[in-house]
Amino acid sequence: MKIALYLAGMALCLALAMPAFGEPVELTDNLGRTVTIDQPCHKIVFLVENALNTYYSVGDPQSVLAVGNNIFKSELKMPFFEAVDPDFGQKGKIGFESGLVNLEALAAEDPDLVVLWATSPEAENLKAINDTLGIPVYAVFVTSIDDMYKQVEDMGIISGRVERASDVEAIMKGYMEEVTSVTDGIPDEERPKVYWMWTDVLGTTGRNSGFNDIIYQAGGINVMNYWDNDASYEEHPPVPLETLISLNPDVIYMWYNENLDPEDVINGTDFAGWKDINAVKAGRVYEIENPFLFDAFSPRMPMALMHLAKNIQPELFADLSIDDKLDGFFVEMYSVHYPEYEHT
Amino acid sequence: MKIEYGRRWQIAVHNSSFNYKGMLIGLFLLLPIPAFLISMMIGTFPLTPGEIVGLMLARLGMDLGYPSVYETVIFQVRLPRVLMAMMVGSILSVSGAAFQGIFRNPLVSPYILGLSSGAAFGAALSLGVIHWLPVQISAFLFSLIAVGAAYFMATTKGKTPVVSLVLSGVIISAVFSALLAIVQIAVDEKSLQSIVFWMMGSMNTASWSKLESSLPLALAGCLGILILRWRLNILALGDEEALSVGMNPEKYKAIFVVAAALAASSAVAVAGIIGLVGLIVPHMLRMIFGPDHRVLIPLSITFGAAFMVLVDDLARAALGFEIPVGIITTLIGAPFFAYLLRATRAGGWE
Amino acid sequence: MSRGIEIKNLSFAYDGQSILDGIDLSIERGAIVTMLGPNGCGKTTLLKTLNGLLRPKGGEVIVDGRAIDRMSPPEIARMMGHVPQGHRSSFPFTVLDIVLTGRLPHISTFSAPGERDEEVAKESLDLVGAGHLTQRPYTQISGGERQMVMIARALAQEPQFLLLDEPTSYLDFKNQIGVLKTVRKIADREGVTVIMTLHDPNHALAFSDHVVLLRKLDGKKPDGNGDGSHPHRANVVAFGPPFDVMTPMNIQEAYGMEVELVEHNGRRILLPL
Ligand SMILES: Nc1ncnc2c1ncn2[C@@H]1O[C@H](COP(=O)(O)OP(=O)(O)OP(=O)(O)O)[C@@H](O)[C@H]1O
Ligand SMILES: [Mg+2]
Repeated sequence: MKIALYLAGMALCLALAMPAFGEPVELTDNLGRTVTIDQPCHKIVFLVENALNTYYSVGDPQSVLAVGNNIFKSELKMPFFEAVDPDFGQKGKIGFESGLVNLEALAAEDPDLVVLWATSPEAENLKAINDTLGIPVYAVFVTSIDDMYKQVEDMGIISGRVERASDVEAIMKGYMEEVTSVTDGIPDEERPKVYWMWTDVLGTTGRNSGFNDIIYQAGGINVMNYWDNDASYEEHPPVPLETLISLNPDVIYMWYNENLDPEDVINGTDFAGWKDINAVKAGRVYEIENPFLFDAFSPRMPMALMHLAKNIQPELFADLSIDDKLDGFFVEMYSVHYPEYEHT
Repeated sequence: MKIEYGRRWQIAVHNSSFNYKGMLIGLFLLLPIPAFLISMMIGTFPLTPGEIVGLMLARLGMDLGYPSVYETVIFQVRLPRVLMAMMVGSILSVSGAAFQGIFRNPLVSPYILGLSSGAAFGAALSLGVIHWLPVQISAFLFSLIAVGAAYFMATTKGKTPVVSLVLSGVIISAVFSALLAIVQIAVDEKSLQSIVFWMMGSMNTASWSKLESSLPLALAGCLGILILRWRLNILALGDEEALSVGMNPEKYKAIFVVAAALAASSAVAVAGIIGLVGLIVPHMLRMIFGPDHRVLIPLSITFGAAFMVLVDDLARAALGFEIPVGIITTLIGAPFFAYLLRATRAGGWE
Repeated sequence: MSRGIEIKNLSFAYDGQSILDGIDLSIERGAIVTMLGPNGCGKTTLLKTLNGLLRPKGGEVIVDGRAIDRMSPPEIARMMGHVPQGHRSSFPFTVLDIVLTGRLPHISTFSAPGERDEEVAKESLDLVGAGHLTQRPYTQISGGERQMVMIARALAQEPQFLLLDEPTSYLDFKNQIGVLKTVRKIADREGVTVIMTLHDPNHALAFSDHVVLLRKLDGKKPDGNGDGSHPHRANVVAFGPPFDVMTPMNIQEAYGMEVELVEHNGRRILLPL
């Protein structure tokens, strides 16, 4: 009996020690695929921006080998990336053509792991890299808030910094709770109905989407939850204008849109048909003004949540100042000050 | 090289009394009216036919106490959309018929000179790069630039042979597709999505302001073709045959290309690239009424309007969510086109 | 003012390559004039300079006392009907629609054919014996019928002159004669002057009032830079009544081949040797 216990104890110690020796570890990506990697990974290529952001809050920046050249509004973000990763400018940039990754450039980097965005295990880039190049691929497909936390944990496993990852998760949850503790109890009927406007205007975020959750945590409810049509469950459903008018949202929230401003929706001639929607009548049309700062599917999710919450529930969050929160948040997450990105 | 399709129909039309054909033409000329009324009754906002009639009466000064949102839905959403679908259908059909006459081939589309590729590039440029440039204007300008470039490229010594035009159209399309690909590589995912959605063609952003801005040139183009339509018969016979009766084919080719391109560009600029309408509608009409442009052009205007607005009804209301109308026309049109291609052996092109 | 067509010292070149040179012809009203010559000698080209479709390099064409280059295309089209060589259509236009297009020079820019135009078109069809084809699709009639329809189209222009480029090509033996007889009829009854190109010398003998026998230019520049032993040779070998023109010697000159003239029942036939 004692021997058995002793052996079990040994086995446990070994199991715990294994990662430190670069032993193979299995983890499950967002598509439910099993990915086997050496922990910690030292040569990672990030072809998806949100996981890169998460990684920088957890792992060793030296292990980032190269990144995709598909970073949205990269000119806005360069100072940040250079602050959290001093070598960022020198790192390889992997190109895409018509959505297909440049395989040769990728193979030349010789990574241990590629992290990319894919909506299905059959996605072309995923298959090409995994099957053709034989490089392990971790597929990111974030459709809920929990997916974001899972991403933090997985970046912990990949970088071998599991403890730091749970700290980061706790930091994020702490900020999230400042909002959710206020909005949790609000019954659905009392929540303003929110129409999320992607850049295609009549394309929105469906019931099975990350923004659906964030809108709810911010104290609103995605108006798609009132649409009795199977399309409302899609990730990005197109909505007929007449349907939108009959759904009559109280708030319209625009994703960062360079072609359109809230003012255009409220008074623009192209939007004459929208004038009887409650949100327009009340002038409650808002826009995510800074797609970097308030990127909901990055570790900055809590900041995005606060941005939404302040607009969706202005009375409840009258005292909340995002500007005051930002610096502390960046320090905790990335050890840099906002907005100058000086190291602490 | 004979075109046998619809022969039975044509014989039926020709052999019976003139009045029968005249009646059928009359019927087709009136088609937009029932199509319009039906379309006004259809939509995802729940309104009964009674309420819709009531709202129309309310417009005439009778106040029946309906909520103002009813009026907005009917007059700001549904009406402009129905009218825009009709306008776009007419334009694509008429310009399709005109291009087919110019090219002497029943299988060419209004996009043969690179109009759609130019428009797609223009739209992408606006949606993804030059944000201050309105999509409609950018798409319109670049579609005309594409057609102009193709025409210029095909013209040597004051002559624009049809074969050169076809080839230059192919080249210009390829050039603008390449430019479009560059824009698509450069832009972010969200913009890319908007570009793809725009290219599929849709009327879901119809509004009075769009209608008003595209109507003048569309009208001018269609009217020009309508007035001169008989001359398309002559142009369709060939340059030599036109010259031998004292017509300058180059002058009329240019006139018709300018008119058709102006109209089609203004339609594409507001509705995106809606495929195959410009091919199917004139074709169906030719099968029934024969190729005489004196009949074909007016019927293309009316039947094109009716056809497009009914297909758009499907797009906006059949499933309760919006299907890009270009997808429906392509899905309907592709098998039809394949059939025509086989039945007519590439349109009898020599 | 002379009535008819005067061709004075006409020359023509494609891209600097001389095709026609030194042509002087005088065609009177009411005759059938046939142009004959080897492939590529410039028959089609000459026909097209007559109605202004091609601009000559030198010389002039005068029709009823007026220079052709001073007339507008519709004016010319009202005076001269023209049936180009070989025609097809991708669209199944009815025969009547095709013939109606001949009315173009009589119709103002913004209008379409009316009743009177339709009458003229039908009369023209009757004249060529194709009245029964009126509503048939042009794509579904025979080559001979198509030739008749195109002639009717030219007649619908109500011209005083009719230019026909190889009206008998692609036709069978009987249809060839049928078309030529119709042409004869048109010339006699309507007083239309016909200028046509043919390839069969016997047809030319049988159906023309005058024959123009042409040959290919020898490639030398008109002003020549030789020693003068080769005087400049113009295109026209001979011009005049058929029997005077179609002699074995002239044929040898134009085609470079030997023929003999056979008489049979008072008719002359040219046979290759
Ligand atoms: N568009 C053109 N460009 C350049 N050369 C041409 C053109 N058309 C004809 N030619 C040349 O001009 C010459 C005369 O041509 P034309 O068509 O008048 O001959 P033709 O006598 O009518 O011959 P055929 O009996 O074969 O019809 C030929 O050598 C031909 O190659
Ligand atoms: Mg010839």
